[in-house]
Amino acid sequence: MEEQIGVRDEISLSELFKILWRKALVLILVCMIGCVAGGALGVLKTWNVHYYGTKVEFYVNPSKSEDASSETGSQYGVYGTYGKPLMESMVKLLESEDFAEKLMLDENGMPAKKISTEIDALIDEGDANGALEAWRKTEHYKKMIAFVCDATSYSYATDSNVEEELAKSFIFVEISVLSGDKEKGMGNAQILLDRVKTHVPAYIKKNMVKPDGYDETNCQRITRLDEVKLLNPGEMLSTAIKYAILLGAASFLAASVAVIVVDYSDKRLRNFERTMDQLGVPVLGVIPTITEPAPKAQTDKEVA
Amino acid sequence: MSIFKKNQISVKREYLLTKNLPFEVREAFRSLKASLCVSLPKKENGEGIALLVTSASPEVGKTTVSVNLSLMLAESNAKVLLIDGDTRKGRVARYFETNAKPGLVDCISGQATLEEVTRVYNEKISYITCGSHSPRPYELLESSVTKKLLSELKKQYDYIVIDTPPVLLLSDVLALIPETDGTVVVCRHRSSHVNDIAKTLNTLRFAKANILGVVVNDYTPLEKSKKAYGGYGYYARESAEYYQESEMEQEAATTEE
Repeated sequence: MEEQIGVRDEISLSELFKILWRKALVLILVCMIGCVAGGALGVLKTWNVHYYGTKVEFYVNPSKSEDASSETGSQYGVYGTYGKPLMESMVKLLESEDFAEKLMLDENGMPAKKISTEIDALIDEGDANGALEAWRKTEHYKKMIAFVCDATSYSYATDSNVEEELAKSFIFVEISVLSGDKEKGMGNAQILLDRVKTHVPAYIKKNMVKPDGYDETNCQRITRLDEVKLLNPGEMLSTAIKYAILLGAASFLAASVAVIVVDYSDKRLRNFERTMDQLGVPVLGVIPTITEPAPKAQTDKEVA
Repeated sequence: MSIFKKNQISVKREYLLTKNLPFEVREAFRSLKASLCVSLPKKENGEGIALLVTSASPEVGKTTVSVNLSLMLAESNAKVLLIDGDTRKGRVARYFETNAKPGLVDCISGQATLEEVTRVYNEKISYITCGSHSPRPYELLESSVTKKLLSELKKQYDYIVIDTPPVLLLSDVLALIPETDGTVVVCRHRSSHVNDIAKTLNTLRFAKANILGVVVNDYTPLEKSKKAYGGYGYYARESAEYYQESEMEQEAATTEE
């Protein structure tokens, strides 16, 4: 039985490079289209997306009564190894809807639960308009709570691994209000900042667990220049560049793969030396194409 | 600008080897002749060599290669006979601007004598056209008359070049293989399919053909580099021009004498 002659589909790097090089213009064009599309996507994604806000830092430490504090005489916090769990539970409390309600309490006058109760009472009384108004207030209030929860984030830092006298604990509040309107965004962020400044220290003082031997918790705002500002200046440009690069690279890669697949699926004779080597027959001769100027079309004048 | 240039150029498919042809083309045929002469040395008994030219598919330039290879072989002072073995669609007659009848089929079927069908192009080269159409070309080509005719021709000529139809389309070529000394497969660059070539080679091997090699016709380098034939190393344009100039000088000197 004679061995059948066949062509093995071998892929060489130089061949791949040659294929890509031949289609360099197409690849560059596809890459450019990808870049433009990516840039446009980046711009659309960040169009009118502005975050306004600031970061407020609070220093938290427990304190003793005047007689007792004179004994320790330390200006630093004393949570020590307890700092981390204590701060963690405090941050959870601050992130709760309960505290968000407290932050917005002055704005609406009453908590959502109370309004809901009012709605039930009004329905019972048959006051449909009153119930509708109360329901609207509830919806508005819920939105406000959601807004506060989205716009504020809390974190902490504590030296839990240093000596008790030197341990320091901080709570950070980040305010970030999303708005397409600068004035509205700045205004909302400023309102939120004012409320944070007032309510956070009071809430911490009230709810922070005090270590044994300490009477109360001190919470001081450290940051003084906590002005509300645009948090993401130039984000549109950076996002557009990022997307342009990503999509450009992705389209280049996809186009390269497509070019290689198309090229390899074309089984016409091109690299004849390699093919004949694989087929096991020599190339006896290579006859070049003869090109010549095309015969000129006869004009009417010439025919006449 | 480049579009205009491209439109003003056409590809020449049918041509005879003359001095008007580009230097590279003439050299390519000379190189092909050299390769064949090396592959098939002259027989000790003085008989001529029968070469079979075929392809996998039609329209690859078999006849162009056959005709011009015959002309090139004749340049070596060899007596060459070109036979149009494509009894169904022979084109040799078109190259010599003559009538295809009478030809090979007429000679084998006894309707014409060998002398009648053999036409002389010049003192070194003769040709036999395909002739009339036959209803059973395979049977005609494998007949004892054909065998006798070829063995007779081998005594008269140094080279017999037989232009045959494509292997994958028609089986006619298989009938001639036992009477020939070597087979050349022609394929067209960027047109012939590699799988078809592989199938053709397998068929020829199965028929116990002495496959001498492949001729790549209509080769156009893709890379427009300074070298005329890209990375394949066939006749750098600069070198070609250099030798062409020298050839022209020699011609001029001969004319003056």
